[in-house]
Amino acid sequence: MHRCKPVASIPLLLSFVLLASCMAKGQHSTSNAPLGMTNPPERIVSLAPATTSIIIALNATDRLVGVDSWSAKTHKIPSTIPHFDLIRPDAETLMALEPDVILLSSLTGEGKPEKSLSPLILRGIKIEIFHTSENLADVFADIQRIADLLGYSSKGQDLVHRLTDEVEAIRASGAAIPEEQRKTVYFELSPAPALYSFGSGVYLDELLSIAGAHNCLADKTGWLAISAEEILARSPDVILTNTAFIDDPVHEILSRPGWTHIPAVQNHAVYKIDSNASSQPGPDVLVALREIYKAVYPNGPTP
Amino acid sequence: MVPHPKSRAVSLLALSTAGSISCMLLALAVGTVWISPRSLFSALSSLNSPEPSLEKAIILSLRLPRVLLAFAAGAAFSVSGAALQAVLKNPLASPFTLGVSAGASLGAGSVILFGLSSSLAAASGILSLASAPLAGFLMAMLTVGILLRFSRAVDPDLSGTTVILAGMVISLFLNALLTLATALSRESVQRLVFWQMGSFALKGPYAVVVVWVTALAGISLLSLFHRELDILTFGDDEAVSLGVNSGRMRVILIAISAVMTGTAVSFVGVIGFVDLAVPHAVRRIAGPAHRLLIPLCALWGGTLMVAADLIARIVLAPTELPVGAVTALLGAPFFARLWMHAGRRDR
Repeated sequence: MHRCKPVASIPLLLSFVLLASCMAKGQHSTSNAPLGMTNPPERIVSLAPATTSIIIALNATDRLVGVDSWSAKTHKIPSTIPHFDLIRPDAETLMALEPDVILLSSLTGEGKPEKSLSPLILRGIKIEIFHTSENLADVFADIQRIADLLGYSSKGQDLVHRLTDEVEAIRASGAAIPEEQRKTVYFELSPAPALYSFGSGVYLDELLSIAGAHNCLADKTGWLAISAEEILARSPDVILTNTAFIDDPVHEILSRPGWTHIPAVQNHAVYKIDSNASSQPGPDVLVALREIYKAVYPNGPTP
Repeated sequence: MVPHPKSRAVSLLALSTAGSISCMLLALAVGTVWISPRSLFSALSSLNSPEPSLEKAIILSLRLPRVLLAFAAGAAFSVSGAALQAVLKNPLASPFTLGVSAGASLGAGSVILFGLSSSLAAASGILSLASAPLAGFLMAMLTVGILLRFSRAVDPDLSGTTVILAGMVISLFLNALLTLATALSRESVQRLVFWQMGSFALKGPYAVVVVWVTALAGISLLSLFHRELDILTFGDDEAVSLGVNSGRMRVILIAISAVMTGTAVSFVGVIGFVDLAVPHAVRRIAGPAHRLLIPLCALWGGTLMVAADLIARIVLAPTELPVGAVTALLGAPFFARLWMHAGRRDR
């Protein structure tokens, strides 16, 4: 048996050399902890569509040195600025950009971005994580947080005030609709055959109630995979869809077999809502909110 | 068993080691950011300088862990494949046919799907404490445990067909569970798909150390059992006459392979092909004796994985291709060529 030892020890030896070098690096780097940021960051990478739209809303686009490819597509960011994969950004290019701060969502990394991006943090790059907002209050808090980070605190307050005023105007118009004229709404996120929607506790549900509409699935919570029969049974007055991956989602819903008994289909009350504005909770949700109100109550009071 | 002239074995090992080291150095030198060979050399020669340059940081904190992780995972996969093909006397056997990947996918997948889902707030409290790799590893071990118990109950000798059939049934069952979970939590699907495609990027030093230690321990243990692996290849009658309890031996060898693969899969995702193909390729060149086969599989499997990862990150840079797709894209033609070439030579 002892004759096989040299063979077995080759990988062993190799690994100790390599591991030792790896450890030595790790020990050294801990002393290189990032210092608190004193000046507002000049070089920003935004790896979440929501944070990109907030930066654009704050007129700080010129500080962006890198964005995720989804932001780049929805906000038409020129390709002179590097585009990154949102879930798996190329860490080398990120590090070589030498940004002051990286804004990202919990989608990036393996759910633990602060852990997976630790080599960047050790280089002194600040990581700011923005969890996906569940409601408008979160969206406004994120706007203020980014504004403070950029050194634009008062600009952020102005933006939040303006958006809040707009939300309240629509809320007032929605509240002015008499109870017997209130409509029930089914908001579809994914078309047939795999219908997907939401119950309460989701920012889109909040938008529906601000607009004075009843979510037909309000008795359920969170994001929902739902059956066509269930929607038939709930007979919504209006159907909204924000599906982006089929050409004419409204026509598809109107021609769905068996749905002809749904009031929304009978009355052709099926509308498309801007998918970029409604699929991410950011400042653009106001666009979605306006569209929802107009679709549900075309003759309601003007906000 | 044809005894190899010692010099041939030594030269094969030396050549493969040199090939592995060159491939790793190349993978350290090349990436999405251009780094000159001189900077690479200076980075590797002065590891502890106080103010690391950008290039050194990229090489040491981003590329080195990834190259090391890819090598260890590739070595673990292909050595496990070699061992299981012998243990189960079936050329199609691999750690993935035992349900290791299905188990790890379900474990890690549940954490990925429900750890973040707001609709399952109650469950997420518990699940967010668990990390995806830990859950993946535990689930993989549980799967193999159940598989071995079940197989032993129906067939005390643990014949290859029994284990492989049971592994397939269990895999299908677990995949069905994962499909169900996926359908109920669609907003996290993207993350799950990415995890399953496999990657070596940004896994952190902890993953590198854990995968290396288990791979080394597993490979060393399997090297020590090289005689038993040879005997099991010949058949149970042979084993009995040589005093080897084939049922018990199989459990031990399957367990070693499962722990080694389960650990790697939990950290890097399901990356196929290497586990199945590398042992066959190495057998064509080095013969069936496990004393040489095991270390060569480790070197070749590791090297192929490092090469696949290198290609995955530079072909469409900065977009990274799924490594699992690259291993097969790169490996299948090479494998076919080797097979044809060796087949012709045999005749």
